[in-house]
Amino acid sequence: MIRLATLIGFIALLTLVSCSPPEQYGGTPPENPVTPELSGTNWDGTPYSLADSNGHLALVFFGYTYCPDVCPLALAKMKQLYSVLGDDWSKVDIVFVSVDPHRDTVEKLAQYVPGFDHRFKGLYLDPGQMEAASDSFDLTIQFSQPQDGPGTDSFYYVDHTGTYFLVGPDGRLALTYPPSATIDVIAPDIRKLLS
Amino acid sequence: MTRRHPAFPFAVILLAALTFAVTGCRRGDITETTEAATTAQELEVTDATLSLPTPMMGAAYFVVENPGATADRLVGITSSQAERAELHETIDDGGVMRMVPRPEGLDVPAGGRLELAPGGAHVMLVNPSPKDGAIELTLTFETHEPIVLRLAVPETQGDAGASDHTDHMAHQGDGGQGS
Repeated sequence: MIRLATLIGFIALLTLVSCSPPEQYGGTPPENPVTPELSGTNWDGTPYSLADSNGHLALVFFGYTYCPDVCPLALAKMKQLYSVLGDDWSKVDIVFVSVDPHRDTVEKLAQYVPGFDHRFKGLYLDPGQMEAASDSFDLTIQFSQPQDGPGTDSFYYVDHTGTYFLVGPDGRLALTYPPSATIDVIAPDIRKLLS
Repeated sequence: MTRRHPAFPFAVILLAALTFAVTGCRRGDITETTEAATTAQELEVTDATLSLPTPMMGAAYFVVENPGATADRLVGITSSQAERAELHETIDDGGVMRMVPRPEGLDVPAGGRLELAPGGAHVMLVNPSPKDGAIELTLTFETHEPIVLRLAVPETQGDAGASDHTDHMAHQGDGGQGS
């Protein structure tokens, strides 16, 4: 009799779980949840790769240190995100990736990224690593003409994908967010993925 | 006893209506005069902040309030404390963030405001060199006299500094682009 009750209980539980609605997220699940390739050198000189994330989530976004407006805004937003996550910050890598290897160096990233939060990763990618990341994340990266004309060493901008990519603990792309996404949308998704 | 014309009550009503109409017109004239006077009011710059994430690059943000009835235009930014100081706008083009220079300037609408804010219109500062913990910018307008902003350097990144004060210049000349 006890075995029968246990069996009925198990079936009821199974039914309940299978009938639960799918998890709702603020971010957009990718049509093709690829395992993106991202490897580079962190601002502190150590290698970093999504493949060695040790079960962490990773929130990846792209920019460059000469970016005056949107990149500091994104980094300030991520600083808020760590603040909101509290102790859970240690389970989430926040990864800023430079798309401007001509001007950005590991040293320049070291002057830039930890100024916002020393826990952030700030990656320099060599050309091969950049190509792999660009393909994996389907990036748009466009360099403007130097302001003093072609061939000069003067200032230029880099138009770039501003999407936030949330990579799951299995290394697969889990959710994406538009550049205008707020912490109120991203933080609950991270908590759900961590639970 | 004087007998009134049968149409007297109608004449009184007509007179009252005409008086009201004339008075109303005068009120309209007065309003126009007040609005005309308002055009002489000064632009006001508020909420000025500075972002300096690296020694090579910075951005300035502020709001220009225009209480007057005539539109103006912010046509230029100069600073002797930056290699370049330019008006730019960040555009979200389907998820690609594009930097668009605005050398033609930005409108300050009549009775409205021009807002420079992170993720939108901003002043790009290349190689900024703060002096005494601040950077000075001169804002040039199509009609209004130039306005000088003194922006304090923020203590930490992600926390923009507040402006110390604004000065209205009698004439332009303190700016000068390039260093």
